[in-house]
Amino acid sequence: MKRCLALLVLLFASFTVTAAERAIVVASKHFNENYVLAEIMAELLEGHGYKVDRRYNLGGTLICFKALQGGEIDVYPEYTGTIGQAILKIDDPAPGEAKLNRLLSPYGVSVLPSFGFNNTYAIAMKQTLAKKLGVRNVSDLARHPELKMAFSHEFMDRKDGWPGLSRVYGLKGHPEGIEHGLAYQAIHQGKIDVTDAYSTDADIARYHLASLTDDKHYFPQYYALPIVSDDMPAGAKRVLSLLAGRIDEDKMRELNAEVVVHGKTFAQVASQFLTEEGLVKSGGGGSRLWHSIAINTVRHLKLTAIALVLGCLIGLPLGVLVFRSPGISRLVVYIAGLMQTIPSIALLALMIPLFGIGQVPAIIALFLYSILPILRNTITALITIDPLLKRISEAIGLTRIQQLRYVLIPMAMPTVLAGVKTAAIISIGTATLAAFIGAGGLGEPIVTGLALNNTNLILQGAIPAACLAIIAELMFEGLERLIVKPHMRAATLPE
Amino acid sequence: MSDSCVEFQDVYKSWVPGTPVIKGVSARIPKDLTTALVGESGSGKSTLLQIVNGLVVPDTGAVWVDDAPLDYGDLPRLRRRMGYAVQGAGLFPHMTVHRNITLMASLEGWSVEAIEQRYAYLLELLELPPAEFSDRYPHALSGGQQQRVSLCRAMMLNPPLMLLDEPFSALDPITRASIHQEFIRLQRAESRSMILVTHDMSEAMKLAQYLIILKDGDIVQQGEPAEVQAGPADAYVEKLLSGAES
Repeated sequence: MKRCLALLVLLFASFTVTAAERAIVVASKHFNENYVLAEIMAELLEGHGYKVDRRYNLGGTLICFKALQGGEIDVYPEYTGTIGQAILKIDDPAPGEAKLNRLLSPYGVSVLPSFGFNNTYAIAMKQTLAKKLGVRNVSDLARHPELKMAFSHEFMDRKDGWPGLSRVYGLKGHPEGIEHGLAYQAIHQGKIDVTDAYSTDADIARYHLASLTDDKHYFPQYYALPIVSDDMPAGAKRVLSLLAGRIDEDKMRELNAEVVVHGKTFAQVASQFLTEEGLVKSGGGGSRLWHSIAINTVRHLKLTAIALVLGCLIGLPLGVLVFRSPGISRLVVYIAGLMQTIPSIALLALMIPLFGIGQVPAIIALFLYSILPILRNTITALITIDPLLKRISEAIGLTRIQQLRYVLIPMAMPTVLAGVKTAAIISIGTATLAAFIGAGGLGEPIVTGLALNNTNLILQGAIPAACLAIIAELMFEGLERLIVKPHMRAATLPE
Repeated sequence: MSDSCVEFQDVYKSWVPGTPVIKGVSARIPKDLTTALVGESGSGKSTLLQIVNGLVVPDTGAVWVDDAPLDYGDLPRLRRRMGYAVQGAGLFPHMTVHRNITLMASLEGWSVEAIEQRYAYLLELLELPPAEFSDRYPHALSGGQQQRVSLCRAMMLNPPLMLLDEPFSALDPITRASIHQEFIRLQRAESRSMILVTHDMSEAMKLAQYLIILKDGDIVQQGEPAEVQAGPADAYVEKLLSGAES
């Protein structure tokens, strides 16, 4: 019996230990290559028994780094050049991992060994043409001044673009500026011969281009590697180090093309890669379309519902409290209105230093947005009630509370409801942006789809979000029918 | 016990400093009679009425109600002892006729039987068949019907004092004449103190037993209707009386 009990206690203890073991939070910036690398890391960790929480679509380098520093996330894919220039602000075109780790240690952050590829600027031309002319290195271009060159506008302007390139390699000629998106088409149709590219761009493979070797090491290095928080368990760091040197430029280009050109999901590409490399046994990665739509919709509803309830809990009493004083009412509505003028993406970004990333800052931002329509409608409804009726509600002997309860609030109800409805619909729309700070919801597929130019993915978020807005509208109309007498309803459009 | 229900003692009120609307009024309102405050618009009659139930607080002077200084500390209690009906009726648009009339009684904790009994009595008195009117909302009533409902509301708690601020002014002459008859019946049925504000001397003569005539915030004459008719104090009173005859 005793032994049985001991076993039970042990079992319980082991269970709580497992439950307490926290998930590893894997994040990514919102562009294709970063998603693929993040998903590879996530599935590798899962393959080694770790629980993983995915926070993709974070708005940019600084948002990711802040979140990493604040312990909100454990790891995301970053590039050596970006760490040097954007985060550490050092003047070194090729910082090594040891140097980066030395400089990053005060931030409580470190880098793991690189995946093995350098995603930097590349000079590209058609493979057939390069073979014919015998061009392999950038320096070979100096022998062919007859080649037509066209570079992206940014490359033409940047110090580390054309101006330096022409000086270092002694290139002559007057390249034209061209929209980056059009350059590949132009080179494919033979209108231009040479352009700039990113070395792991899927389009290099798609258009059969050759990426010329930067033989004088002119371009800064952008080696991709996992950047991790010091809080991340050492075991998980060891698992991620298994990826060191596994992905060269060609491999990354191929993985990018799987998504961009062949339309596979990140999960499919990641699990295929990990299986081929023998890092995990056959992955999942199947289509879980409805499941993910359901999860995103529920998350979206949760964000907006909590924000709306908070908005009502604060906005309605505050409106009732201040409406008798015109001065304070104006001030309160003015402040709430100012909040509304902050662009939603800026407000969300402002939340990060204060509340980190995830659902909490998103809910706070949505709450700040929902409060204006609720507050403004409540105050307007209460102050525009016929002064005669206000006088009578006093004169017949109602106390202040009774005046509110029996006369003022019921009479204000149609306008107040309209305010709550507006707030609900604004929240449903704005919540799609919450994906940028890792709150999930229907913005998740929209943001990913935008980054990948994948209409399917965009629609997976946009259609349910639009449906939610329509359902909210209909629900509030029903609610109004239910609790407001027909002759008391706010003016409606003629039928 | 004095024979007055309300007493004004040198009451002074101005909204804008230097231009008083009530200029040191002193008067006693007799108990159990209907007193009319008569005057042209701007004479201060409506303001004087609102001083009685504390909607307007005088700058100086005192107001006594039932032989005690007006208690501003508990106005809701005071006001529940004063019925109030105004021009335009002022019924609550989101409540049925029944709810408009019985709201205060139910808040006062009356029993359902007491409420329904008093309600039925008042509706009958003002010729509003309950079956037809109880569940209607104010927007579906004529002006005269709204005014009758508003009188019922004012009478519901059986208040010792009624304050009436031009309740019949917005009605057409025929409706007004018939409500006047009902009002007289009501005075006979339940004798109580009433203060009726009106600009219409003929209405005052017909419904009131005591007149207080106001001009520019001051009393120019007071007395029983017959006395006033017999000896108007000045040209202003004469003008009000001549308007009444035509």
